[in-house]
Amino acid sequence: MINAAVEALERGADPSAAEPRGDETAETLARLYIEVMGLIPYELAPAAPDPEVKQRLFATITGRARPAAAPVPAPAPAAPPPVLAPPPVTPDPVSPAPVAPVAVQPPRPFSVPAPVPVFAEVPPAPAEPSQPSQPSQIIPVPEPQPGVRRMPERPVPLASRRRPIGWLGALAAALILALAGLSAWLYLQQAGQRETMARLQREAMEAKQRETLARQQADRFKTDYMQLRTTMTLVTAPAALVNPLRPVGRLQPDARGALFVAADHQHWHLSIEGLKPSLRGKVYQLWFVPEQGPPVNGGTFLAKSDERVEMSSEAMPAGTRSAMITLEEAGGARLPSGPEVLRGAGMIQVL
Amino acid sequence: MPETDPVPAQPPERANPETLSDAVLMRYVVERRPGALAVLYDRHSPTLLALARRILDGSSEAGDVLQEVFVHVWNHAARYDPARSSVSTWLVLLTRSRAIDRLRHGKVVERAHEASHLANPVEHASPEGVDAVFLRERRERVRREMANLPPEQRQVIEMAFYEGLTQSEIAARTDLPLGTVKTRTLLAMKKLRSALRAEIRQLL
Repeated sequence: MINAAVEALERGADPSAAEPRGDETAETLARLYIEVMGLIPYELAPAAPDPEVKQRLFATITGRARPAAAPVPAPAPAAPPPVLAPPPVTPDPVSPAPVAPVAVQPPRPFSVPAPVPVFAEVPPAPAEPSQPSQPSQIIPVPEPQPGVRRMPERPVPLASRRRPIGWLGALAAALILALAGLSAWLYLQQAGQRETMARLQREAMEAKQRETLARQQADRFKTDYMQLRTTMTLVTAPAALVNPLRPVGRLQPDARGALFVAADHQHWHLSIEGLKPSLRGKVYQLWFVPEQGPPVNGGTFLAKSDERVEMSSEAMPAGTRSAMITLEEAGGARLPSGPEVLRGAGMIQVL
Repeated sequence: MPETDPVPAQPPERANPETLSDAVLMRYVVERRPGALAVLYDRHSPTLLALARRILDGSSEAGDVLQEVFVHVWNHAARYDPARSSVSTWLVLLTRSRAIDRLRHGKVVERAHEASHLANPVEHASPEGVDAVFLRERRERVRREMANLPPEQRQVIEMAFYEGLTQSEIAARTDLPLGTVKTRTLLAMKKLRSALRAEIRQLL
């Protein structure tokens, strides 16, 4: 079987396109050796390709995938401008001939239509009684109903009977009017001031709320930044260790993660992806596996759909050689008791 | 027979491309979606470029080989058969055969003396985080197992893989009997297969 794969190598051919063999076991074995050869170049230090290579590649393939796109005519404006006529429809939409704007006659002045009466069905109101052209209408005074008491008529004092107001009275009236005006003016001034004060207080409250929100947001940014910086420091530190976490059994085959450990063996960062969302009443729990002794609780966490789990801390038990994730009852467990979801193979040095 | 990954309901532009497997990405490439090819390129090009440089002795033509391989993938993605190899192995063997083809046909005009102008291979920092960890672990394991091979076995594997020599050519170059070369090759491959079982299981 190795020979089959090696022969494929010698032919310089693509082994995946080799002639199929009848023996399924032989095929499987040959496939294993082909995969071994596929792994060999991973011993080489990876090389960062020149970005230009990728640009050339995608220029090539997109050029083949999509022929050069014809210039798309500009979309017609939704509404023609008021003093320009819309361009005439050209027979060739791909390359329309330039059309000079054509001046047209200014729009005709239009008369304002008479407003439609809202209550068109309502008959016109009766004419004003003051109109001299309308004949006066005598309205008969109804006769008093029996049993209805009529108010006695008061004698109307005649103007000629009033005594003329003296200058003292006029002065008093003027003073009263002035005082009333002053009071009204003061009242209006105070009302305006009260309104201004209330508005200023509202604005001050809003500004304070905005400041509080901004401060909280800045604190969050600062926390996120610190966490990111810690993570970056952890991940890129030359002496950092990494513990890849792989799924255990068939419980969650798509989950995987990594525990990054800083050079001080204290700071760590956990990154897990593909975990199924936590069920009600269940939590995931991280365990540090020491060289000797039982696993040590590293904390519980929940997982959300399509979200990566990221956790960091500054404390790790001494002698930790690996980590694992179990599914436990809400609140966590003192020792691993639920099914194991992810398990680390061991720490590897990050180059 | 390996199981085929179900095609996710979401197209690659909606799904997180980091989480799509190579096999799923290949099916999107068959559907002529350049975004899927871009993910494959970002994921595998550092390894493939290192391989091409190793075969071409550091020649700057390694970049051309890389481009050639991915143009081939774009145009012939439907030829890929997941039952016969993983995507990464298919890409590795495509790169290897094209680089060796250039080497044999004397297309390489720049050799090692010009390679000093090239940037040194560096660890490619992948932004995916967890992906990078698993890739790093794979590299560590392959390096360790290759280093664990007896030197004479490692030599025949390297001559066959990186230089494209036949077993007869290896025998001629090393002044060894052909049978010895075959035996060393078989032993080396068996050891690697046994030691890299976990990695192979991931590829399958």
